[in-house]
Amino acid sequence: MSRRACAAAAVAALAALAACEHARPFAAYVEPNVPFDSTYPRRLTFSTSGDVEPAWLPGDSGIIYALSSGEPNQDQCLGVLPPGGGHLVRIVCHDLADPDSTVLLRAPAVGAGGRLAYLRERSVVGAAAPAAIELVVATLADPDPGHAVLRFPYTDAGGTLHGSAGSLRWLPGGDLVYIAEQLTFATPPQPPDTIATPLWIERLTPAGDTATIAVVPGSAGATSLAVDSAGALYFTLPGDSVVYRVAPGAASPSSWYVLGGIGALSGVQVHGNLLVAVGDTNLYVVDVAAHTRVRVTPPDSLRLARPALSPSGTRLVVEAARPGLFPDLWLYQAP
Amino acid sequence: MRSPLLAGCLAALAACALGPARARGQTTGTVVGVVRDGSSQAPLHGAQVLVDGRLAALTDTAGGYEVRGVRSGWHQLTARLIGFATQQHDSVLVRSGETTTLDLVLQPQAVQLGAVTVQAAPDAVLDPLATATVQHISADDLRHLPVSTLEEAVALSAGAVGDSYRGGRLGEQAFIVDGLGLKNQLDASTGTLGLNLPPDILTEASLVTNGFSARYGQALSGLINVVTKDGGDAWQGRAAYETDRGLGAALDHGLDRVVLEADGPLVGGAKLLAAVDASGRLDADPVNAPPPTDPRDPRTAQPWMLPHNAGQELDAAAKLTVPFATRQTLRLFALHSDGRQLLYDQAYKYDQSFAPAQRLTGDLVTGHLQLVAPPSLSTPLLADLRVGWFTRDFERGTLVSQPSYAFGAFANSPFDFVGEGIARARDTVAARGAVPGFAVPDYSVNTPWGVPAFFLGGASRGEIAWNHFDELRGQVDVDVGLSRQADLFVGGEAVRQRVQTFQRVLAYLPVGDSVPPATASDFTPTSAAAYAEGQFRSQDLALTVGVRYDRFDPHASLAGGQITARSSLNPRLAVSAVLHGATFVASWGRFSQAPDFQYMVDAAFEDTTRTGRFRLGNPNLGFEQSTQYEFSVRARPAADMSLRVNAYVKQLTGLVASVPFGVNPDSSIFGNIDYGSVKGVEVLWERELKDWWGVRVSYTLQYATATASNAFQLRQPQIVGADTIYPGQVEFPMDYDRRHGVTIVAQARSPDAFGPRVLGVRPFAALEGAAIVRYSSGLPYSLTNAAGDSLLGAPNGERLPSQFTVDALLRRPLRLAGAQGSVYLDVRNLLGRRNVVAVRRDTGTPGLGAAGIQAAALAAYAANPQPIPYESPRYRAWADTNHDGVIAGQAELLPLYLAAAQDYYQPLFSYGPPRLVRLGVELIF
Repeated sequence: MSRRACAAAAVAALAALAACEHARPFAAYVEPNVPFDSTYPRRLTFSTSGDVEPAWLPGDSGIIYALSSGEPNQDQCLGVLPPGGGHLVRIVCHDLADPDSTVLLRAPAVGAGGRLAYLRERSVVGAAAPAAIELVVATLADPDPGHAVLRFPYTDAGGTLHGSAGSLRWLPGGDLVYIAEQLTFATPPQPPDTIATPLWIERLTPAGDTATIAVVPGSAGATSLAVDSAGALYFTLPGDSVVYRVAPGAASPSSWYVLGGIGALSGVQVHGNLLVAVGDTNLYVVDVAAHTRVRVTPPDSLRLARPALSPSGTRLVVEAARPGLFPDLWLYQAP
Repeated sequence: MRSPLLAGCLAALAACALGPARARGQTTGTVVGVVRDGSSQAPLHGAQVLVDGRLAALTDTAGGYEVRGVRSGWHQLTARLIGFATQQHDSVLVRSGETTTLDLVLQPQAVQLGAVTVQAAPDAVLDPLATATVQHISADDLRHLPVSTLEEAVALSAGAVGDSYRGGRLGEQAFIVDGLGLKNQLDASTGTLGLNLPPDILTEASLVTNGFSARYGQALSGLINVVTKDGGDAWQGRAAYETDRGLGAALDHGLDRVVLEADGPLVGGAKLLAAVDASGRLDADPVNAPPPTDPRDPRTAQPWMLPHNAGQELDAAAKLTVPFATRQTLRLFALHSDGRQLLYDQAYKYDQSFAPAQRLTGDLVTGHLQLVAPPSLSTPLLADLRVGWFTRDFERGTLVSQPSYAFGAFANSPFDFVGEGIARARDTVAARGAVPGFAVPDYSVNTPWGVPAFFLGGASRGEIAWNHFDELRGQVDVDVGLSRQADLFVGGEAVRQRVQTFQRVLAYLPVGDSVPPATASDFTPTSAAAYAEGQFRSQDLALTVGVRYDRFDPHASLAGGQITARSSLNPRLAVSAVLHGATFVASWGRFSQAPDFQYMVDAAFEDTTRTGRFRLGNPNLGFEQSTQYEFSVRARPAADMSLRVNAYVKQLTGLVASVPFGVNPDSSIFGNIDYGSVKGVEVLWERELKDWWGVRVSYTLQYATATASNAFQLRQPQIVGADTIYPGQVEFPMDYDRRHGVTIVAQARSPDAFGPRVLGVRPFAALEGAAIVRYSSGLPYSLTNAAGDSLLGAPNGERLPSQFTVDALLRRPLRLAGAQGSVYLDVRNLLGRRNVVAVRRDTGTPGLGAAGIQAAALAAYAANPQPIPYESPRYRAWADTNHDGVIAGQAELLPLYLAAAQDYYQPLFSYGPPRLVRLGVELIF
């Protein structure tokens, strides 16, 4: 080999080296995100501090719910789980740096296009009653602080004091519906508690940092509320087993389905002809067209509440609590 | 020394332990000699002496000539006289501040001889005029030794410990770039200059550790004198590429370095030099830390490289040399340095995008007009007019977005920082609230351990640090040859500086009780200096006497304009003589430097491990000063060997240190209250590269003590055991008190026809090798209790282990397409020795220890004992031993906290670099 060829070979070798990729430093640790088990019903959460008010993300892409932050000030945050369960992929909290106040984010509702509505309650740490409750409209991409479109408490034109809202639901057009509530607070010597008394269903049209509100006629005392993909409202009233429906554009509700023999209903959810409701301590899944029903009895004496039917109608996530304990979330397959 | 009178004078001066010397730190040297008639040996009067083809001197009646102001480097020297054959020497080496003696003999015939290749180098060993302690690094050294930067080369000098020289603190040195003083006056003690000179543009560099010329100030311990080369007479250049790709994962630290240099003539005699030196490394600060013990630690698989530790450096320089008239030259020089580094923060090991980053940029533009009196003038005169503009910008904080890498560690995205606008505007009002873009960090959920402890994530620490320093400097130096036996150097400088700083910590929170307010400053100090120095020679005796006057005025609005200027008078004296073949030098000098401006401004700190959250600046600081005595002996035991012994004492006074301020135990203020001394001996033996090999050995023995080890050391009574030590009464080792240091630099080169032929090539022919062996005893540190707030012994009473490294370079010259080139292999820490460079102050070892880790884990568990449910991102299946979906109780949680503590307290940066290998190819055209 000539000297020139040797040099050329050396240069070529280094040029080849330059084309090589460098070794890279280690990447951050990633824990595999898989469900706790593969059976149904599947326990999704194991926290001892309460996991409540689940709702589905569009396209069955995840489950959002309210959970404790674990901080000493007892803040409550919104968490997002994978649709089949696993570890939280996102936690949204507000102002964790303020140790002197408690901020609860709760009652999340997700609409088309990633619209998000929730309630934000502020109180002094340890106080029985919140100092203020805001109904916040935001997006999943930028959930906090969002726009506070309604502030509780307030007194409406009829002189009724509104303390909060429950069962937030998005309508297809971008309006919100919810059950207006009055709040009373149990104080010592009774155990501290917040008691919500439903007023009626209201329809809210957000406009920047404010909103216009209209009462849904015939909805006084509504205990649960659902919306279908067409924008029809479904609700239940205390003391009976009738599911009422307000069709889009209709002036008043009509009886839609009677789930006889099980007492008062709550937690109504509707997807097409699929009706889900809680009666007694059981979950009922009804094919309205076929008039067939399936009773889902929870294991281990759990009490079920606030079912959330996935947008595809194939899965249910529900609060389940043992007596005296805070609820966890469980996942069911729709029958 | 033939005269008893002179000998007596010398002895008396030596007894007084006198100090410094001749004009060091210059860019030029002198060539002297005698021109004689080859037939009669009679001196020739009126012969012309030309340097690089330009008439430089006429010989006097004794045939003597002297050419001053010859730029450092190799030159062609020609002597001619009508009736005699012209004689030409192609390789005359001139070193800055030194005198090259070259006698010439002209033959009385009108036939011109061809160029004679004669190397004439200055002999600084025996030259009595060389009174300073200078250690040179030539451009050749930089290429042939396993060093990549000027700083690495300077660190080979005796008495150097990193950037500390002769036991001094960091920042007690100044740079001289082509004769112009240069210093990061803002934070030289904690930061770098911000400028990196590409080694390819250098003619030589030297470290002067004593005997500074009165021409230079701003330094107490050392001058780093750098001379850049001018463009050549023909276009030439060098291109090189170095990498550690393909050397196997353990040796691949993501290094790429590209060097391009070219220089040559332009029109009208002008010459241009341009160079770019770009380097990047994915792990810019590789360490030889042991691998982790837990296999779940992601470092286990590749413990040699840290993430978020990448760095890139771009240095670009250009120089234009314009000669005009016959003896005047204008030089314009520009240098830009841009250093960007991601900083590894162990707390952000698993959330690296929130770890800090920093950017340091520097720019230098200088102009140098050199005026040389015509040779016909009876009094040789050389005047240098220099002006320089230096800017330095430093920024540290959280990046808006992580860089995207285009090639190796070279990123093609900007380095923008969160809150940068507020920092640059020094808007302390806007910074009172939480700064937009920052969020509250939380314990990381991305660790293998899951538990909320030690590691941070979600947001950065909330630090914004920015500072800007610039200066405009004008300098005049005049060298006057009073006679062949006397020179006079006079000159001065004026400097206008500007300092702007901003600092905010915990920027995600508004300013409050636990969050210090942002600090900012903006002021324009000025300084001025004047000097006069005379050098007198008589045969083998030389006497140098100089005095320098320094003055600086912070013009600080910080104290409402109450602060006035302060000044310092610094005499320097040196005497040297040749006795029995050896040169003896005794020198004495006083030196002063203005304190770092960072000590004049307030600072805010998040941590309380230094001097507290609130550090008050003191605009009323004065000069830091030293008085140095040195006695040196230089000799040549053989023609190619030299031996130097330097003994010195350096007394330090007025050094900046911290004292308690007010009643807040965490608050302090700076003052000129520290004093101490450095005593040492340096022995340097060199066998010049000749007959294949050369070697240089240097040994340093040194004691450096002071009442406070550094400026941030709080000087207050220390309770050590049952004793109370009062500051000012006891001196402790200074931070860079390295007692013993040995450096061996060996070079070898095989002959061109050496070794057997293999496939027509002699692989061992012209092979160049170099090795650097370093041994040094450990630096001091202070041992504290576990809380870190009480000393367990005297300050700096403990010692780190000794360090030992071997570096090597092997180069094989090649010819490629008619051009010269080479391939080379550069290996640092060849033996892969794991040197301990730091220890924890509470344990005296690199690590926290098993008991400390256990305690840290228990404390972390006690702070967060809550169960971890399955849905939590902190859940780790392997820790849920009963598989109930919840990690709860000490039995399940504590192992996680223990593993996290072991991970967090890994002593990564307690160790020096690992074995580093780079392959390089260069082309010289």
